[in-house]
Amino acid sequence: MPPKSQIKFFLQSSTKTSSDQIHQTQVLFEFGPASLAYGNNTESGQLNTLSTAKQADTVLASVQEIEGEQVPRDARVSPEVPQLPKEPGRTLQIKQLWEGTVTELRGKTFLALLKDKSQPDNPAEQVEFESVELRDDDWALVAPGSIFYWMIGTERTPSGQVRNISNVEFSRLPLWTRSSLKSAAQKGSCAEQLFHANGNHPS
Amino acid sequence: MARPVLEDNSASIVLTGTFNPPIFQPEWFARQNLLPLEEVEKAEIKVISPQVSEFQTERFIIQATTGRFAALSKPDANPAPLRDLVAGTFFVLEHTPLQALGLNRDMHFAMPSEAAWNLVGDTLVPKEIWSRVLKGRIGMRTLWVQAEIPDFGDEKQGSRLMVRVEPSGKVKFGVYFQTNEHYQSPKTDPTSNLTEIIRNRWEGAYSYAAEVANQVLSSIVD
Repeated sequence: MPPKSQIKFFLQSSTKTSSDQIHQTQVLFEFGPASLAYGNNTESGQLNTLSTAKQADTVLASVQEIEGEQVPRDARVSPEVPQLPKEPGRTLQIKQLWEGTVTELRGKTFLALLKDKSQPDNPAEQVEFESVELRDDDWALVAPGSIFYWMIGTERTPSGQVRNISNVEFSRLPLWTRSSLKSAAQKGSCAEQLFHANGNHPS
Repeated sequence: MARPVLEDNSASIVLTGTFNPPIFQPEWFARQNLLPLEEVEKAEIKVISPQVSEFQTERFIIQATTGRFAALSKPDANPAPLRDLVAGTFFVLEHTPLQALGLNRDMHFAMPSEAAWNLVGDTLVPKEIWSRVLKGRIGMRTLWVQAEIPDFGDEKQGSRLMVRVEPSGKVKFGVYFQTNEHYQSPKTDPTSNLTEIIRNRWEGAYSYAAEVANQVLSSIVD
């Protein structure tokens, strides 16, 4: 177990790669007086409120103190906190998710082998997809060996309507960069030289 | 007793290092075939400048500053495309000096009742000791727990799992879980190593985050 000082160090630096600066949750607890009780078996009516005039005065006093201070001119302003909030009331629930590998292209359809990501113990299945199920842009990616994700789920709209959703997304992970091609070519060249040196090349 | 329900769920991948923010604009991602053109055409650009770049598409938010790159997926989305986008980006930008990687998941669970909600706080932070010295209502606000990343237990390299638990700011009587798998870049070939971790660990990190939260909550409310 690391010493406590070390743990403290980790805690302080841990937010560097966390989602803290992305999400709003943290911000909700940074503003205003500490009013949200949690794990506290008292009256729920008191939760998250600024109920008394005394509390309000305290906040006002702190604001006035800040106003009295000189504003730093050389401060670096952090970029606005990005948010990608759920549309109010809209929920999407993934019922099943597969990872597919294209095995055969048949005109406007293709065959694929599906691995069930929701229940990995399920055996692989072969399924035929039609081009209309894809984004127009994704059709260019359909080739034997390409990977895609197929998700089915339900979406509940703000008005309470429930829709079944099926979504196919192709993986756009690049396979080769210039340097990986260069490195592969170098390895190939080394292997070729080795075969030549051993006299194992076809004449 | 009724089970906690996952009401809101999102994921993000964060990298620290040295970046050139103006590169990260929608057209660049389309040119590299990392995002579909249709998605890029509808992208909403907030800012593109030498210091910061930020835009959002139908599925993602991308934010880059000179020291930090963050990609966030839409709530409840399939997590795999986020991995492909980030791994693909730094596969293309293979010479970007990366320092650290964070694989993150944020989850808001609705508890079945107020009593169950309070039980979470009381169990994770027992009030007995605190009530001897603190006055008034005592409540848990934030709990950080540090652990090793499964099958990657190497604290010497600075990797670690941080789990944060808080009352949810989004869900009534909800509990917020945040997991952060933090990886420090190795000295040799840092970019391809971190990209490799994104490719190999992302799905594991995503499902392990849910497993941690579910097990903790289940052991409290069951």
